[in-house]
Amino acid sequence: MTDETREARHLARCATCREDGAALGAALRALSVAPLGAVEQARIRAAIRGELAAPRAGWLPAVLPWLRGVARRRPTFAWAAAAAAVVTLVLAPLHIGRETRVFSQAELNAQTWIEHIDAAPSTSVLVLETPKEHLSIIWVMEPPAL
Amino acid sequence: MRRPRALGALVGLAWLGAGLAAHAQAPTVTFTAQAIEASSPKTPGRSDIDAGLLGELTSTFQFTQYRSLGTVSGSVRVGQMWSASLTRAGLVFEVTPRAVDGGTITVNVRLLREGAPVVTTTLRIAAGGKVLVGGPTIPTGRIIVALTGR
Repeated sequence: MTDETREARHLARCATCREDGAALGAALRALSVAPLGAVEQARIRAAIRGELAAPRAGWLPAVLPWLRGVARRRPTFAWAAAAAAVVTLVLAPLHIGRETRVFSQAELNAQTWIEHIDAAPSTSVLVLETPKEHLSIIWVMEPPAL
Repeated sequence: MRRPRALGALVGLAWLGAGLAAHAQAPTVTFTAQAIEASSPKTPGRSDIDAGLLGELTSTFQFTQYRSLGTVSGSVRVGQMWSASLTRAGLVFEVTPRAVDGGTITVNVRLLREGAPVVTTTLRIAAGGKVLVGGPTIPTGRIIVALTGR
């Protein structure tokens, strides 16, 4: 039982305390409140300014207790989120690391690589590359038709 | 308590599966093949192919005229074959992408005449790069196929 509940129950039973409480309240309300002095006003303003200037905590400290609560109450969710984070961390570099530089046509052509060539019998094959655009040319010379 | 746990496990597995499936799916490669007739007629006409490509060809060969016979393009998944029929030349051009690694496409290329391969080659081309396969005789000269993959 809280102090407030205990106090309320007692006041409900005790008429003397109820009267004392009402008298005390009336006396407090009748007291005049002296205005703050210049020094106290300056101290309060300085405190407010300090409070406003203080760096605010980020969203993480506010979210962390909630996350801890979720992890405690729903461990499966926590594991699923951890698995998703791992998958994202593993797959993301595959996309981020992809080449984004724009190559010229000549640079693209120069990257051509001929692994192997097979030609029909009696057929000759020449492999050429143009000097400017580095175009690879596979030139096939068939035997003359009989 | 059992239901949220099962749901959580399901969500995690679905996420994992979607991520892996996206990577496991065979990539698609788009090919463009332009058939060019190279010839040296007595009275050369105007060459109608891209000026850059024309410059490269005239600096390499002694043909006096290059005319486009047509351009075809198509998309296929890795492992599937894409073919273009060069009807005027009586040839078939077959392209099969074997692998895509970053910006490089490994591709098998075959040029067939009446079903028999004239030339078979395996190339690695950069996405957007161009390679020429040519030489076979056609009634009006020689044929050149300019292949681009991306």
